[in-house]
Amino acid sequence: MKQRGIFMMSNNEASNQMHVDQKKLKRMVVRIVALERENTKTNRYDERTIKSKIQSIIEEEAKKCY
Amino acid sequence: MLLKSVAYHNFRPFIGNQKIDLTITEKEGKNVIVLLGNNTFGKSTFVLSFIWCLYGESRFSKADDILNKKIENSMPINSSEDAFVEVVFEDDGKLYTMRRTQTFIKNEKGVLRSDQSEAILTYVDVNGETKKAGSSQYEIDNVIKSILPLDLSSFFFFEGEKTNEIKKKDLGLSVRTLLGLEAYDKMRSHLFGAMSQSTPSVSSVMGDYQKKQKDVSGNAAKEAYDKIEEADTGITECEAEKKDVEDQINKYESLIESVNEKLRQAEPSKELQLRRDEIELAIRDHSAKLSKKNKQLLSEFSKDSLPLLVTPLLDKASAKLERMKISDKGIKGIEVSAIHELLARKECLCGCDLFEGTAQYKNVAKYIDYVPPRALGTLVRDMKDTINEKSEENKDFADSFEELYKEILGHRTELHRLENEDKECLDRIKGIDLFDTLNAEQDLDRYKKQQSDLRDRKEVLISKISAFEADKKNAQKDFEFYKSKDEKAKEYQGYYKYAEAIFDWVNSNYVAKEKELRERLNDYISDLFNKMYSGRREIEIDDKYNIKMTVHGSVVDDTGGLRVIEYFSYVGGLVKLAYEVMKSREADNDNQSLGEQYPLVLDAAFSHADADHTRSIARELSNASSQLVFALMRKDWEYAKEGLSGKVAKIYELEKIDETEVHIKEVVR
Repeated sequence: MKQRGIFMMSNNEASNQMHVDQKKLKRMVVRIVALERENTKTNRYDERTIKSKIQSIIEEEAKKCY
Repeated sequence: MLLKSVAYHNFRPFIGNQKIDLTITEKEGKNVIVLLGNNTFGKSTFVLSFIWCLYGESRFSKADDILNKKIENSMPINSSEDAFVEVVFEDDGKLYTMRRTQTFIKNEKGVLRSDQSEAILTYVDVNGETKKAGSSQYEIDNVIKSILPLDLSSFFFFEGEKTNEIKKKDLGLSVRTLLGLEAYDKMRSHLFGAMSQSTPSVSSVMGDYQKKQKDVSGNAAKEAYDKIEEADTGITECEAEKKDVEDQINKYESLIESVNEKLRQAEPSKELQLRRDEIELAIRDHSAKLSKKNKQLLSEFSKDSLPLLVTPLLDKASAKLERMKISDKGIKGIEVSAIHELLARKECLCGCDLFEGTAQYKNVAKYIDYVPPRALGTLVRDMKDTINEKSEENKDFADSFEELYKEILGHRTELHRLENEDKECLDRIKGIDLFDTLNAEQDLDRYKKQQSDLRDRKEVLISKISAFEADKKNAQKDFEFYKSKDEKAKEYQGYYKYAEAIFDWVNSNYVAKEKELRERLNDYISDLFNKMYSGRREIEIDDKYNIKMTVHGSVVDDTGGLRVIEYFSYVGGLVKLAYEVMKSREADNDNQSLGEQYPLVLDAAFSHADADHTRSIARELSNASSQLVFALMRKDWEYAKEGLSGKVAKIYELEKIDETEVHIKEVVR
């Protein structure tokens, strides 16, 4: 894989003050992996839907307060 | 994936409706199903029916022979009949049913026609509802291949008699799928887009969060974003064309290699023939020795087979006599007539006088009671001595008999190997004889020219992609500068950052996870191979998960029985690893690890193996896999069952009525 470019670097720079909560991140990973595994074996969701579901997981977990 | 059952309807020799229950009783450790049948009874049909049902591929010698012949012959014109196979299996806690049906129509001319077969795949979800897994054949194919990749199907549904081409393929994707790593691949693709790019694609999750930031920004940011999209479209189109060009380059690479190989072989056809001559001499030599040893064995047996049979009886008799404790006071070799003779002469053998009434006389006279015919003890002692003597002789005879039999087995194994090698040489020579060297060289020039043009085109595309990427990065700089900094934009930027963190996590963990799994797989395969094979060869897997055999570090070729052991080591290691990964997932409640249980369905698995290897292959495969289904002949079963003690859940037998009708019957034990 190539190194990702300036956009991502600047995004990081711009959002340096934004904190990535490791607990939330872990929950997102677990849920998205499960979703992907499920879908490879059922073909339940198309590409557009699965991306939308990933976004829902990210937004839902990001908003949660622990 | 564990198989639950397979059902047939008018499928090849399995006329009418027939079913095999493949359920194993895991708790009792009975994980083996056996299907017995002689050659041409339908064992291969049984194994290949899974391939046909799951993947739609007919690997039968006559690919179109799907409908039962008896049914076909009885069909009136303008009528139709169906043939189907239905496989029920469990995977990842879900119960799936796959049914593939092919409809046959006999037209007015009496000719049988059929369309493509059609598959229906359903599964039972957590609520107990039955749902379709994929609505099109393409989607069904994708689901099945995600459960059990087609490239690995030859391992799991194994045909012992056929040459397996699996080593020539790149098994990386298939093995990753089997170990559950495919989900990570898809996750990366959905979050970021193509991994070959340095920036996220606009259609990815990260790209979408970028777009949402644009939507809440002013015109300058929107213009910058339009340029990002334009460059992204350019990159996508160039990448697609590049992939197409790369596929064509690879196709020509294969063609060039194929021609080169034939050219290389044009001269070696002589060498191959010389090798065949050597093999022929070796076969004659081994045949003569085998014949001699067989004769010797028969001669030894007919001359003196009694010791083999009586040795166990003699041991028993000796033990019995020991237990009887019969005292022996007699003199070996002396009978009562000799005692009477001494008394009549009145002189002992030692020179003493034997006058009646003296102590010496009485001392000699008492032996009248101890020697034959009256003395049982002496007879017993004679008997014991004879038994001991015979036992020693018999042991020597049994040892030499066993040694002789081992030599015979050795010659038989070597003959089998030589015959296989000879067949391979002959096949290769046939291929070379049909080959036109001049045409091949012309083809080679043409392929190389086309490949060179394609490589030039690829370079142009790579330059274009670089230019688009530079445009995209510049546009992104502008976008970063102009985009809104308000609360809504910050919210999307926050989601973007999480998506990016997930992507980074997958990247770092995926590589480490794959490396760890590959190393474990290598250990399992090597361990199984060493258990099944006794010799100096070793096996290992490379980065593409292909297997190679080495002796003292040098790669060597494999043939016959060795290849079978190699395949079984590979697939045994694979299913063991997949199962362990699944168990660790369950134990740790850790969704990051995947894996599954897999069945092994084997036809003629032992056709190249001798008795010892048959036992060890059966034992090790049943230990390594969750479910083992053997289709085999009775003669092989006699050896295989010794390695499967207590593990057999069910035995079925194929009963051949005639060439077009076979019945499947469960053997009641």
